Amino acid sequence: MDQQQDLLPGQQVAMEYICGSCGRRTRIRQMDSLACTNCGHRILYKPRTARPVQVNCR
Amino acid sequence: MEAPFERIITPAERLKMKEKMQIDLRDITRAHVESFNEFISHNLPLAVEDLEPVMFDVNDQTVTTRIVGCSIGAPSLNSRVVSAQTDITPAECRQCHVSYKGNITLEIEINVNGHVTTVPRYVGQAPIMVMSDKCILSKLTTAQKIAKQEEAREFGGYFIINGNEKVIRMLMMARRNHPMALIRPSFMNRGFKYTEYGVQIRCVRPDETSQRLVLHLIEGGRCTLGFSIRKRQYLIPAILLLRALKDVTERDIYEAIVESDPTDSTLKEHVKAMLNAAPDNTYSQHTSLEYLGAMFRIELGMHPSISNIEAARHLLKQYIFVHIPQHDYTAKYDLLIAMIRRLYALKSGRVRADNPDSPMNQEVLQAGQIYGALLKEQMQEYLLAMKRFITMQVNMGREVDVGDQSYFRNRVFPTMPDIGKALDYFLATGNLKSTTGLDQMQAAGFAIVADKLNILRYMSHFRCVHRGAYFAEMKTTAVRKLLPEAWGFICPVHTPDGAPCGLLNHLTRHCTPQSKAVSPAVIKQLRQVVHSLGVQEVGMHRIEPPVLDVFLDGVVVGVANVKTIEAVALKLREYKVLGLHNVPEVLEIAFIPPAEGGVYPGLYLFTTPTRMLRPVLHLGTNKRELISSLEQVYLDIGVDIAECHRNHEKFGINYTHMEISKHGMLSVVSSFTPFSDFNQSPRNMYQCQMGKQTMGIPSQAIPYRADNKLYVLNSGQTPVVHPRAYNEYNLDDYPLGNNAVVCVIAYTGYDMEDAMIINKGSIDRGFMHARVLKTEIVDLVDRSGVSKAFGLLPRHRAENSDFLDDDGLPRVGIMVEKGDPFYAVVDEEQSNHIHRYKGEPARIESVRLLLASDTSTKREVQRIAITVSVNRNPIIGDKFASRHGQKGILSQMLPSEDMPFTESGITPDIIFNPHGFPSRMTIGMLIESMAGKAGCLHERFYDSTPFQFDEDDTAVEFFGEELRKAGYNYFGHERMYSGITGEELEVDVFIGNVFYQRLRHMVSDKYQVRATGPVDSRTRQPIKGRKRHGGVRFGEMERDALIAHGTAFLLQDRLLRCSDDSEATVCKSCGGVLSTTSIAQSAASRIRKDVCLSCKDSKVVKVRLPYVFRYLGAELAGMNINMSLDVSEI
Repeated sequence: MDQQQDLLPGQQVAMEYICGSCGRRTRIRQMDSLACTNCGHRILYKPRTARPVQVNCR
Repeated sequence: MEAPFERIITPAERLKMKEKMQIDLRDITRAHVESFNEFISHNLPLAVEDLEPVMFDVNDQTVTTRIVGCSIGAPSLNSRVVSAQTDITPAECRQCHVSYKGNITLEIEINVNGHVTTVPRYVGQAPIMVMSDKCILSKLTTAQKIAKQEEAREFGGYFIINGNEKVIRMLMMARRNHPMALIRPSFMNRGFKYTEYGVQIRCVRPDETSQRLVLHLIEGGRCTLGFSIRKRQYLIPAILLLRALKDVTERDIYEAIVESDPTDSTLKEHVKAMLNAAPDNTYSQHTSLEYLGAMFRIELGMHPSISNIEAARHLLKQYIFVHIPQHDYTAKYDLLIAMIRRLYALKSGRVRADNPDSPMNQEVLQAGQIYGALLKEQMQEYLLAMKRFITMQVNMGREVDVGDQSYFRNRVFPTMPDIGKALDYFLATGNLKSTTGLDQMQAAGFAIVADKLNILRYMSHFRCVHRGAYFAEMKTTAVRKLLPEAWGFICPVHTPDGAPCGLLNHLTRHCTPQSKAVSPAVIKQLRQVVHSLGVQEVGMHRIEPPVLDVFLDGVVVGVANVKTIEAVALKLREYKVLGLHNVPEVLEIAFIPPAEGGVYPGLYLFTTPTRMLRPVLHLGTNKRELISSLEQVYLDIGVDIAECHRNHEKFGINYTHMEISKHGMLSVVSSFTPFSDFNQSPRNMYQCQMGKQTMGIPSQAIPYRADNKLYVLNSGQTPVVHPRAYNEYNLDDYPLGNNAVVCVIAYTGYDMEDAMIINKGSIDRGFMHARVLKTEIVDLVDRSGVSKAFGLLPRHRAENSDFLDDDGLPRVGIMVEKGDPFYAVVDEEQSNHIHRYKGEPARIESVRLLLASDTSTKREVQRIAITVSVNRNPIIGDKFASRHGQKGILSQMLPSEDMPFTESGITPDIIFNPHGFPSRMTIGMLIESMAGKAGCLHERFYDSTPFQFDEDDTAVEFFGEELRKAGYNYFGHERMYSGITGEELEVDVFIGNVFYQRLRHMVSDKYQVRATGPVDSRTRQPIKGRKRHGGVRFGEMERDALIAHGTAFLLQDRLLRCSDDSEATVCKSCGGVLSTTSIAQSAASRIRKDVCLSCKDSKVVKVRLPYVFRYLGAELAGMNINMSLDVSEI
C-alpha cells in the first residue's frame, strides 16, 4: 500500500458497482465510460461496504 | 349525488371501500397535463400557421422566410452526448440533475424570388411535461411506472429542469373574449380629456395567445381603441376602425349605437361627436384602410412591396379582435359597436362597472398556454433574427448568397438563437424574457419548484392559482377579498395568511379548468341551434326595444328580446345537459337579465378553454352538469334537498341546481382537516399551512430521487379519525403523522404557552421518529477544461480507508461526522485532494455515479451524488401540531413513570395545556379526541368529513354514545393519578386520541450559539447568520431595555466588550484618532512611543473605543471632514 503509485490510465482501480436499472454488478475504472455493461443504464450505485458498521446505541 | 355516509368504518370495510372510492390522482394535475397536450396537438400547429412570414431584400433579391412546421420530439439526451441510448426517463433526469427535454425541429421555408426551399432545422430542446402525451410515462401501467422508478401513482404536470420539478403556476386572467365595463382612474392618464370609463376585452386567438384591447371614452363622446404592439401603446379612433371594418354610412353606425336606448339625448350627442372624430379623407372603407396602413406599416415592419391596404388588413388581423377569424370583418364591426354601446351605457350610469377581481370575470391561465405563447414568440423571433443577421452581413459588405442552401446551413443557422434555451430559462427562473410581454402583467414568478416535502404540499402546487405578481404590491385589499362568486371554484379556507393572503388561492377539489378547445364545427352548429331557437341576426331584426345581444365566445351572434332570450337559455341548458343537438357539455349559458344599474344585460355563451368548471346536479333532469363562474351567479343552486324544500316554501325560490357534495367547496388540502366545520375558521386556514409543512413520507421512490433535502417520517400511521377525502386520495400511500393519546391537563408547568410534553417512553418506542436525506452532487467538470477524476491514491489509502474506498468515494453505510473524509479527487498533477464532510453526524445512505451534466460531452465518471441520512428523532424544541391549527413546541420529554395515568393504566403520549382551547375554539380537536378514543376502543375508524352532523344530530351525542358503549365516560373524561406523587387528581381529565403531525421546523436547524467567533473585517463586529457561526443581534430595543433598567455595566459589556472593543490613541492637542501612531524611539530600541503625526506631539492618551467608530473617522476623513475628540480631561 505504501508504494508511491499514481492514478495513471491503466493503473486505475476497478471497482464493482450496481446498475440502477437491471441490478447487475459492473466493474468500472475511473476513466471508463459510465454505463452498465449489461443494459447501458447511466446511473450506477455503489454497493454497501463489506466492512462491519458498528453504531453505538445510547 | 354523493353516496350516503357511513360514520363507522371497520378496518375490513375500509379496505374494500378504499378501492371503490379511490380517485385518479391525475385529476389533480389534469389542467396542467391536458393544457400541455392541447398545446402540442392543437395550439402548436395553429401557432405555426399564425406566424408572420418575414420579408427582406438582399441586394436585388427578395427573401421571404416562414416557418411551416414545428415538431417536438420524444424526450432525449442532448444530441451532443454520444451515447448508446439517447432516450431518457424522468427518474434519470431527477437523479442526474438534468432536464427532461425533447428536440425541437422547425421546418423553415426560404423563398428567394419565388424559388422555394424547405429546410428542417434543429433549434434546441424543449422541456417536456411529465405524464403528457410526449412523456414516456403517459401510457404506462402502474407496474411499468414502478419499473421505471416512478411513483406508482405518478400524476405529472411538471417539468424537470436541472433535476428540479418545476410547475408553471396557474394565473387568474380576465375572462377571454368578454367585454368588461371598467372604471379606472388610470384611464384618464391615457391622454388629454380621457375619462375614467373604459371597456376592456382580452381577445384570445385559436392558438391561445392573447391581445388585450381597451375602448376609451374621451370627454364629449369620442372613443378610441387602445392596444399594444411589442409593448408600445397605440390608440385608434373607434370611428376609423368601424369604417375600416365595414363599408357603412354614418347613419348606419349612428343607428346601430343609438338603437339600444333611443330616448337618451346625451347618447345621441356623444355618438355624433364620435362620428365627427374621423381623420380627414377617411370617409370610406377603402380610404380608412389606406390611412390605417400608412400609419402602421413601419411599426408592423411591412415590406415596401406590400400595399397600405394590405398592411391595414394585417393590423386588423393581428391586433384587432383576434379571437374572430381574420376575414370576418362584420363580426369585428358588430363587436366594436356592442362595446361602444356598453361604454356609453357605463358613462350614463345605466349599468354598473364589472368587477375585474371577481371570479365571474376571470379564467385560469394554464401551463400549456403560457408555454405555447412563449414558444410561438421564440419562433417568430427566430425568423426576425435570420433577417437581422443577413441584412447585417449585407451592410457589412460580407458575401451573402441567399440562393445557396449551404449558405444558410453553414453561415446563418449556426448563429441563430437556441429556442430550447429560452424555454429552459423561463422554467428554471420563472422569468419571462419577451419582446411582446405575451399580454402578461408580470415578468417574473411564472414557474415554481414543486417541493416534495410531503404529499399535501406537493399536490397543492398543482392546485394553486395566483392572482398575479402585479397585485401583490397593491396597497388596496379589494383584490384579496373572498367573494361569493368564488363559491365552489376557489377554496375559502386554503389561502396563506400574511403577504400572499387572498392572492394565492387554491381550486376546490371538483373544480377543473377546461383545457380542450371545442371544435369550430361544433361551435358553428351551436350557432345554428341558437338561431333556430329564435335569436335573430344582427341588423336584420325587427324587435321592439329593449334589444339584448347574444354573444357566443365573444362574437355577437344575434339579438333578441328579454323573453326570447330567457327561453333560449332554458332550452340550451336542457340540450346541454341531455347532450342534444351536439351542444357541448362545457357550454356556459350566462343569461344576465336587465336591471337598472346592474351588469350590462345579455346572453353570454362560452365554450372557450381555461374557464373554471365544476359539476353540479341539474334538478330538472337529475343529471350532472358542468357550470362555470359567470353563469353560476345567475343560477339557483341549493346546498341539499332540505334547503331546496325549505327555501321554496319560505321564499318561493325555485332551485334549478343542487350541489353534489357539501364539502365540495373545499380544496384538496383543506378537505383533509377532520371535523373542520366545528373549528373557528382561521384555525382551518392555519391547518392548511401546517399540513403543508408536515414531515411524512413524501414519495414512494425515495431511493431514485436526488433532492437536496428530503424529510422522511420513519413510521407514519393512518389517522383513526379521517375524512372521506383521505380514502379518496388514498393518503395511506403517503402517511403524515402519528396517532397520539392526548390528555388535556396542566401538568408540571412545562406545557404553558403552547408548549407540550411528550412521553419519553413513546419517543423511545419510535413516536415521530424521522430522518433527513441530504444529497450532495459533486461535479468535476469545470469550464476551464481541467480534467479531474475521483480516486484515492495509494499513498493516502491507509489513513482514509475507514471512510473512503480506493475509488475516492465514501463507503456506503458508515457513519460520518464533521471533518471526516467525504470524497477524494485526483487532479492533473496527480495530487490528491480529500474533501471533508461538513454538517451533522449522518450515515452514508447511497453513493451514485451519474451521467455528466447535459452540457458536457464527457462520458467517464464526472458526477456523483452522495446521499446522507441525518437522524432527526424528536428532541426538545421540535414543533408538532394537531390537524386543527394547534401547534406547539416540545418542551419536556417526561419519563413514562412521571406521566399521569388513568385507572386503566394508560399514560398519555402528549400533554396538551387546556388554555389552548378557550380562545382558539378548535372544537373539532375535541370531537376528534372523542372519536379517536372510541375508534381505538371499538377497533374501527370514524369518518370525520365536515357537515355530517347538525343541531338535531350532534357529534358529541354520537361519539359520547360510542364511548359509553365501550364502558367509558360519555364526555371522554377519566379519573387520573399524578405520576409523581401517585395521588388521584381532583379533576376529571379529558383524554382521547388525536392525530399529530410533526412539522419540519426543528431546533437542530435553528439553534444558534456563539461565545466568540468570526467578526466582520471592516467593523470588527460579530457577523450575523447561523450558517457562518454568527451572533444574535442585540438590537435597539434590547439596548432600550438595558438603559431603562439602569444596568450600564451590562450595556457596556454587550455593546462594547463583546463586540468591537478596541484600544485607541487620541491626540490631546488635536483630538485626532487617525493621526496617532506608535513609533520606535530609535531603530534599535524596543520601546515604542505613541505620537500624533500631525501635531508632532507625544501628548497622546489611550482610550477604549468601538472599532467601528475609528472606521467612521476614516470614512469622514475621506469626505474631508475632520473628527476630533475632546480628551483634555483624561
